[in-house]
Amino acid sequence: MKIVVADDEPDMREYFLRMLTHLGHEVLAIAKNGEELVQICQLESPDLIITDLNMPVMNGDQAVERIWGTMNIPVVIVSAFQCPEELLRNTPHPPLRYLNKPINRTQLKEVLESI
Amino acid sequence: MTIPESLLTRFFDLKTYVGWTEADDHCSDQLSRILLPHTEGILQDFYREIQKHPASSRVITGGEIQIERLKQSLSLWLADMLQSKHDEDYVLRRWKIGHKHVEIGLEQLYVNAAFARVRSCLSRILCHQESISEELKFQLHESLHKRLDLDLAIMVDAYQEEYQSSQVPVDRARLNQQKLLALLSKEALAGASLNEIYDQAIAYLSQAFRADLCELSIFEPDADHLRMESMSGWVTKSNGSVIELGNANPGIAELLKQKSCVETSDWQLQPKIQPISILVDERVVSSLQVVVRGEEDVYGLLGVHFRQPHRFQSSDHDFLFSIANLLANAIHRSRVEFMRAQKAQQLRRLVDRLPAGAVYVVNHAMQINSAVEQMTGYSKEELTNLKEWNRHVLNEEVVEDRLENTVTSGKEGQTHHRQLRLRRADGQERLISQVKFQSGADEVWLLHDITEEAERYKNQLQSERLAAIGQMITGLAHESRNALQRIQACTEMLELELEDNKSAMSLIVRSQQAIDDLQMLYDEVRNYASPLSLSKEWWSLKTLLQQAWGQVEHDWKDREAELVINLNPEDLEVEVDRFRMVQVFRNFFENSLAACTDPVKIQVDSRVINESDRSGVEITVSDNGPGLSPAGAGRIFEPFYTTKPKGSGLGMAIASRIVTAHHGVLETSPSILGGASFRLYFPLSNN
Repeated sequence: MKIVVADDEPDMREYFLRMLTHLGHEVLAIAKNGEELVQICQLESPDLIITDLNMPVMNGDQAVERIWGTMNIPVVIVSAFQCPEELLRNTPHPPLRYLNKPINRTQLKEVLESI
Repeated sequence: MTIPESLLTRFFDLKTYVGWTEADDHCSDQLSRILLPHTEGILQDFYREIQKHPASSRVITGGEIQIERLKQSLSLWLADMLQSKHDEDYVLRRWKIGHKHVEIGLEQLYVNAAFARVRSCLSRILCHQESISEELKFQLHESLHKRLDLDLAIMVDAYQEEYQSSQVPVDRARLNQQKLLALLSKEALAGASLNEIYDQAIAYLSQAFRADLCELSIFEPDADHLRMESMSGWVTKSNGSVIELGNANPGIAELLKQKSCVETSDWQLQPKIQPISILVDERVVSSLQVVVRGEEDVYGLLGVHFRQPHRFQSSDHDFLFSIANLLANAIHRSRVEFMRAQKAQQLRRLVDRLPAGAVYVVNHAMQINSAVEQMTGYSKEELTNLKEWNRHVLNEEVVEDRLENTVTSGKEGQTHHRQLRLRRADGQERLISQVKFQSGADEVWLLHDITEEAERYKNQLQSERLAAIGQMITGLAHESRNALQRIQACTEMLELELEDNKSAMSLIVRSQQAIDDLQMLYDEVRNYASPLSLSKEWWSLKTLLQQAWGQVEHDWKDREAELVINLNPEDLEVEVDRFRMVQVFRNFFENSLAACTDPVKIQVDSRVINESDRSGVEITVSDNGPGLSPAGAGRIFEPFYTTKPKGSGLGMAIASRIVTAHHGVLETSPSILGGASFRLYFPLSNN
């Protein structure tokens, strides 16, 4: 899958890049915040978005809502916070998965396979 | 009867005074000759007039026969007056007639009036004599007047003498009355009961007056009647009789308004006075009555009565007034005393029934109320002084938290607030709050049993502290997620790097295990500290048990372990939060699997309880492990208590919290399999 990732943690950005590649996926771009995520998605049209929620400039859920306004891209949220209910209320929406940090590669693999 | 010497002397002196001469002696024949033939007319005129006046007719009690007899006497008197010589005998005869009038009770005024009538009658007859000269007529007139005046003088003297002789007994009676009064006041002051005083007063009254009837009736304003409280000589009424007032007895009602002594010396002579029916029934003729009156209230009526005409003296009025005042004082004192006693009793009841302990201490002696008896288990008789209090009850004074200087009703005092630990009679220890008001030599304590309150406060404080810690831990557990994630991410990347390095991989696996343990611990802490919100539904107990057993599969799949589900009824359903209850059972199973050596046997039993005081479901989970130590059984539900080398110590604390949130009870119990056993009880839910 062609995936775009967003996380403000450099460690996590590197983890996603290496682990997703290791799992056989293509990481199109990596954003540091929600605003970058929106911009990248407009350019790249990925198969899947993996995003954190709490980020500077723009939060992950706001970015996803913005993207969903024009594009139909599945989303996996990986966050220490609960999945915001606003996102779930936005129906009908593209496939949405939620993983509570901390996650391991097994969980990551399973969630990607489920989409 | 002998005529006083002085009277005779005075008579002859009076004769000189009126200018009696020998000529007057000679007029005797002529006056008799002219006047005596008219005797019949004079008598008729005389008695006709007497009968017109009640005061004079009253003395005639024998009817026509008596009048005939009296006419005889009067006729003799007239002849005697006109004819007789003025010697000692004559004066004696006149004196006797005077006394007779005094005896029959004819008032002196009427004697005077009768004389005036006879005089006018005789004068008129003389005036109409035409056969005699005017000069003789004048002489006869003068002589007649002298005779009548002298006669009247003797009569008046008789009245005078009677009055003087009656004065002596009056003085003696007065002295007697004063003595009785003194006796009565002495008894009243000696604290005799009201009824004793009433009876004494009536006894003294009837003795002092020699009265036919006496009584004291007390006014009962609420019922608007008089009640006869003490009496003597009554025939128609007895003690306790009621005399209705209002319209029933206007005479008495009127009497109660009087402020002075009401004397009725003769009912028959005073027809204008409304006769009091009960006195008429008793054939009372003369009465002296006085209202027994306090400063503001009418207390009653005191009466002295006679069945014969009786003349009361002013000293009688004074005496009756004195008795009435004395009675009024006694009644007033008794009523004040009664009200005081009533108030004192009300105050005693207030203190005794106070729903708080009240203690009064003076000079080390103490009085306690019923609440203190209940609080301590000791009776009022067992706690009579501070020494007994300290020995039996007081364990220790815990805290003296406040001391206030207060000014209450103008008296300075101090209020101490402190807590006492008391030992009850049954050995139980209680915590008591004491407010002690100290003023001068005495103390008043207000006691409250605050044992339960203090326990609640302690629990509340503990749960508040736990809540604060929980909040902090929850925050910490959440914040740690990102850090844990980074460790996890870096470890996995390291794993990719070192896939071929066997010894490095072993380190990574151990590091990964530590991360997992830390993650689990954080999850459990968060789980324990975060607020529980249950979503209850009806679930098959068997399904829940199987789910829990499934979740711990990794703990038993490679072991010889067996779960026996022995439910009664088999399809028993319970209304619980599925997720939480599975967590509870999972905790039991994890603990059993950790503690037991193979072969492991875990058995779940259930029974439905339907008793008068409780109805619900009891579930027992038992294993065949080593069981709990007595110390462990006491602490198993405390957070962070664990016997496992890798346990968080929160599993059973969380389980207990979940069961409590379901209004259930979780406790340890003897195991049917010889190991540990837990018993859960859920009340039947109404909602």
